[in-house]
Amino acid sequence: MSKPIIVLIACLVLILVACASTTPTPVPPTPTPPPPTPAGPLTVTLLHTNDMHGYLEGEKMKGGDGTVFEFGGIPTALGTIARLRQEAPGPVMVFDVGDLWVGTFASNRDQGKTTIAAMNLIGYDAMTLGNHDFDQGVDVVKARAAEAKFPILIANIVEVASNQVPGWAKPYIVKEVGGIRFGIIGLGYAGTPAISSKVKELQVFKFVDELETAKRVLPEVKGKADIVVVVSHAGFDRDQLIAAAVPGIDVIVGGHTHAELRQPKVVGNTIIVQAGAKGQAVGKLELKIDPATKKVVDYTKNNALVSAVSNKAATPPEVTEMLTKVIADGRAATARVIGETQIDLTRAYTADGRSTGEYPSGNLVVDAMLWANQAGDKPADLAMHNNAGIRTDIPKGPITYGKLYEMLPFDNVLTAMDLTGAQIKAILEIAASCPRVNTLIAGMSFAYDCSKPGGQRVSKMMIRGKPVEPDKVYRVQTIDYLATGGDGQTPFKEGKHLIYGEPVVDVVAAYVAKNSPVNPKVEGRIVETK
Amino acid sequence: MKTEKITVYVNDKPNKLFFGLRVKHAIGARWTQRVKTHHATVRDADGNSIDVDGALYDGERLYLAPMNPKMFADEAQKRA
Repeated sequence: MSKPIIVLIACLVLILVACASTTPTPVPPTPTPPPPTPAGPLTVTLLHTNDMHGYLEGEKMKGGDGTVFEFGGIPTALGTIARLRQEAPGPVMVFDVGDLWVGTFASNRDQGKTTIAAMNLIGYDAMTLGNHDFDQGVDVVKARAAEAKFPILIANIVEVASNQVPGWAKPYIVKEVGGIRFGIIGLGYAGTPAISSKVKELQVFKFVDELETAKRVLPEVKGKADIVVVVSHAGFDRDQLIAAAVPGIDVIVGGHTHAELRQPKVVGNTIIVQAGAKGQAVGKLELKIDPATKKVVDYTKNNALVSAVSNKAATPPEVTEMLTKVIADGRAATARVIGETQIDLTRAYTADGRSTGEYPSGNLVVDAMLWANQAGDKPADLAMHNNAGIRTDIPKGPITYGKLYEMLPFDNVLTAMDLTGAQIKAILEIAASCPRVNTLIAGMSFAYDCSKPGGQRVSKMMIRGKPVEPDKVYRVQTIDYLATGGDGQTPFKEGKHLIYGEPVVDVVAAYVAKNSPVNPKVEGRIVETK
Repeated sequence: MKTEKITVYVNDKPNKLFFGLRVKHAIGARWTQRVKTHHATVRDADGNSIDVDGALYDGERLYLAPMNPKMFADEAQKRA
């Protein structure tokens, strides 16, 4: 073969090789990777508190092993939330169900301001309002709502003027957590006006039935959310009715009835939970959610409450500090002088040592009760209190709130009702058990004769200076304890048109402050005839 | 103004009370003190423990039972 031909063949070979190396060799297509294994359920934990009622301190306890701790109280409950958040396997949402700050002297004084600030630090997601959250008036609620870094949700309270939920609240929110849209609806207690001491002020609102509201709002929320949570102060009974009548609610986080649901109650497909009261427990409901269907596939069935004990709580120091200051300020306030008495506020006793009849400390209390008037109520004709409810004397001189609280320690609240003259006589006949007369009165007077048989001892009854007429209706200011028929006083249970008012001790404190110096002498309101 | 009476059952015994009253009004002062000092419990029909200041509802059933107060603190720790 000649050299040129060899070169030509070599070139051809080279060309062929070059072409082969640049032409991609067809390779079989990469097999489609198998679809990724779906992620397991997403766990979202709902932590909740309800009815903490201003309990800024828990109960001091000692365990069998000597551990000293505080049980319950807002600081410990908030610290328990902080700890549970750290321990949670996934995202967490935190709710409060209302009746938050009214219930103790220190918290009442603070009007919930510091508690809301503490909840901001802990990171609540939403709250609804309980009936007692309105006890200090709407302006206080508005102020707390403005300070909260979480929304106040309350779909069933509308302003009469606008028929809209007040501007400081929302009916619901939608919150995306872990890729799941949670619709959170708030329901306040529709019966609030019937039992509130602020009945007149609350007339600017219409409180709508909780069930009716849930039915109305749910479709709108379902359109925007995968899972629906109702934060409800309606009470355990109403929550069950709502769950049965309004399908489509996944969870109802409840309050008002102070029930400790260690096992959630399931009605239909709705999980109902509630965490007791006073910060003694934090509710912990773990929802396992299928990320594909975005439905709840499992949830906590047992141990849905975690006891709040201080030795296991992770309360941030700043929360402890701020709430401790409120407690200290409250203690200092109870020691402040609010007025003065010109006489010893003492009690009178039977020979066997039971308080009886008319005496200065008793007259002070019922005079204050008669002076007070629940907003929106007509003035009372008379006031009645039982003797056993007055527990100490106060000597002549300065009066502090602390001394009044020792005198009236039972947390009774003012209760106004209509009673007829005949019913009032029946009450006085029961009171005149002889030798003891177990009643304190203001605005009226009567005589009793222990020589007569029971039921026939009372006479000369006068109300506002006029003889008592059996069929006439009188407005009576008394206390909730007597309204239950306490001390055997069953005629009170027949009263009509009840209105509940302020705690009696607060009423007496206000009366002393306004009318100081006081001089509640014995003046013959209750006279024994022989 | 609501003056409705509700019926609450305490240890299955009916008790008519004004709407708006609380568990402590239904069970009385003596039992209330016992519950507060952990010498007794009050539970609903489902066995849930109820706080004495809880609101009452019509038809509610409350059951009172004595309790050993010495166990309370340890139970609280166990459930924490």
